[in-house]
Amino acid sequence: MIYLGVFFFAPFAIVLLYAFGMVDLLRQFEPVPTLEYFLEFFDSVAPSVFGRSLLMAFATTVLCLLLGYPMSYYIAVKGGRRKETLMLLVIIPFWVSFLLRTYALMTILDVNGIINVTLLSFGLISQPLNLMYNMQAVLLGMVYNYLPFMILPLYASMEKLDKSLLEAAGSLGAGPTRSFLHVTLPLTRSGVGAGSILVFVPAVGEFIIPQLLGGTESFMIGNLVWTLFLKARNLWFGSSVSIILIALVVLMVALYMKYITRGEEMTI
Amino acid sequence: MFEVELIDVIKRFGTVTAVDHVSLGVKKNEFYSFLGPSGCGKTTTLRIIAGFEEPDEGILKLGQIVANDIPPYKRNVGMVFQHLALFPHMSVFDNIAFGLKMAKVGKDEIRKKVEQSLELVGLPGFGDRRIHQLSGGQQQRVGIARAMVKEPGVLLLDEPLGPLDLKIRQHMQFELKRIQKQVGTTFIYVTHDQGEALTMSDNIAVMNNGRVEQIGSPREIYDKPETQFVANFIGETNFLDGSHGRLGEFMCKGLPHAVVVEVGEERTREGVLSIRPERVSIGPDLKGLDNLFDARVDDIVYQGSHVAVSARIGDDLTMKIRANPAVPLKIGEKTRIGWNKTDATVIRLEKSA
Repeated sequence: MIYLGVFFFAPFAIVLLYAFGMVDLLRQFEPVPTLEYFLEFFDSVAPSVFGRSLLMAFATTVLCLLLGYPMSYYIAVKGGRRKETLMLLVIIPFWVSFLLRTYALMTILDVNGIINVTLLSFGLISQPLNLMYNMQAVLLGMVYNYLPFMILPLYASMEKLDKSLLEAAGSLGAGPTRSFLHVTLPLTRSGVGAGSILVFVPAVGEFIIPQLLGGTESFMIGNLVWTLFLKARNLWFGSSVSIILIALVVLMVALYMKYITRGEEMTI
Repeated sequence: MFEVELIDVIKRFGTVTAVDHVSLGVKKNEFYSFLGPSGCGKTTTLRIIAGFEEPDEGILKLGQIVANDIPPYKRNVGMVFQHLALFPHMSVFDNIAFGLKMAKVGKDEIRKKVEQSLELVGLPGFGDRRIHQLSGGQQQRVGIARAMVKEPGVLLLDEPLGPLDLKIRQHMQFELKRIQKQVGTTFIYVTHDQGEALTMSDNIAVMNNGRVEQIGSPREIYDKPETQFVANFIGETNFLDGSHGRLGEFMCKGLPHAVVVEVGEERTREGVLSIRPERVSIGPDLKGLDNLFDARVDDIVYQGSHVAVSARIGDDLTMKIRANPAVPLKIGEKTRIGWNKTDATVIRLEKSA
C-alpha cells in the first residue's frame, strides 16, 4: 500500500492537479480547477496522434495474436517433452534489456544493416532499402517486443485445456477444424483476453520504439506526452493528455473484458 | 460376424508394449468388458477402437471394414470418458446436442433427440443447467447421453463409474445395463472392478500386461479360470500346487490323499488346483462330498453375511473358507472340510511364472 501510495497515487494526484490547472507557473496551488487544458486537446494535433496510437496498438495486438496463438498452441499441445525448452526460448529475450533489443533490431534494419548488406551482396537490390523510420518498422519493433506478453497467457490457458475434450469432440464427429472452433477457441478465450490487454495497454503508450525506429509519421501518444513534458515543458497540457489516455485505455479494457467474459462462468 | 474385431493388435509406447498381440471379437448388441489392473492395456485397447491411438501392428475391424486409418470423427463410435470430458463452456443441452450439430441435424430434430436422451438417462428438464452445477452422478449421465444421442453402433465406456462413490456406482451399474438393453447398442466397457464386470457383462476379456488372459462369460471366467492370474484377480481363491495322478485324480502337495477332479482336468502334468473359498464346506460331521479332509480351525473372522475361516490340513496347508455363521466352529478345534469335484478347477502352470 505504501509502495502504491508513493509510486502510483501521489504522482497520479500531481498529474491530476496539473491537468486541471490547479498548479500555476510558480508551483503555487491554484484553488480553482479549469477545463482549459482538456479543451486545448481538441484544438491540437493530439486527436490524430491518439487515432494513430490506437491503430498501431490495435495492429500490434492483432499481429501478436495471429503469431502467438499458433505458437502457443503448438508448444502447449504438440510440444511434449520440449515444452519447457520452447517456453524458455520465448522468455529468454526478456532477460535482455528492452532498449538493447530495440537497438539490436536497428542494426538489422539499418541502411548498413544485415538485411541490406546481405541483399546488396547477392545483387538482389542495387540501392539499400529504406527499412527504418516508418510505420512498418515501428510495427515490427512492437510486435517483436510484445509477442511474449501474448504467448505467456495464451500458453497458460492452453496448458489448462483438457486434451480429452478434443478427443470427445472427435468422437462426436467434429473434425480438427470444428474441434478448434467449438472447443479450443472458446476455452482459451480468457488467454486471448489477458494476452490482448497485456499487449494493447503498453502498446498504446509506447514511446521508445517509435522514437528509435519511427519517423515523423509514426509519432505516437507516448512521444507526444514525452515532448510536452520534457521538451515543451508544458506540464499542464501534457498532464491532460495523459489523463485522457488513461481514461480511454481503462474504458476500452473494461469494454473488452466485458466482451471476453460474456456468458462465461469462471470455471476454467 | 463381429461388430468390433481386433486381430493380433500391437501398440507400443517407446519401449513399453501396451497392447501385446490382442485378438478379440465383440458381437452386435453385446455388453463386453475389458477387465484388468491399471496398466494392463485395457484403456489403450479401447482408445484404439475409438481411433485416438493407431495400432502399430494388427488389424482393427469395425463391422466389415478395416478401420486402422479412419480418424475418430469418421467412425460410428461413441465414447464415455473416464474423466467425463464434458464441455465446460456449454450447457447440458449443448453438450448433448454437440454430436448432432456436427452431423448437421435440423434444429427441431436436435431438440427432440436431446430431450429423449435426457429422459433416457433420467435427467429430464436439466437441459439449461451448466455442467458445474451438476453432481458427479448427474455429470456421468450427461456424458452417457452425449455419447448415445447420435445412436452410435458401438459405445465405448472408459471406467465411467470410477469417480463415483459406492452407492451411486451400484445404482449407475444398474442404470447402464437398463440403458443398454433399452437402446440395444454394443457396449464395450473398461473397468478394473471385477464385481462390476461380473454383474454387467455378457462377455469379459481379462487383460494383464497388455495381453488377453482369458475371454469368456462371467460364469466361465469365475468358475473355470484358465490362468492363475485370472483366478486370483477375479475373486478370492485357494491355490494348491500339484501334478497329475490317475484318471480323475490330482495329487496336491501337503494333502494326505489325491483330490478327485472332473475327468479331463487331471491331464495337466504340473499345475495348481483352484478352489473358491465359498465352495468349500466345513463342519465336524461333513460327509457325502467328493473330497473330504480332516482339518483344524486356525482363525475365524466374523464378516456379517459369512465368516472367513482359515483351516489347516496337515502341518502347513492352509485353506481360506467362507462359511455360514450358523456352523459351530471354534479356533483350535478339529473339523472336516470338503468340496465336490465340480467346484474346483486345475490350472496349467504358466511357463513365465
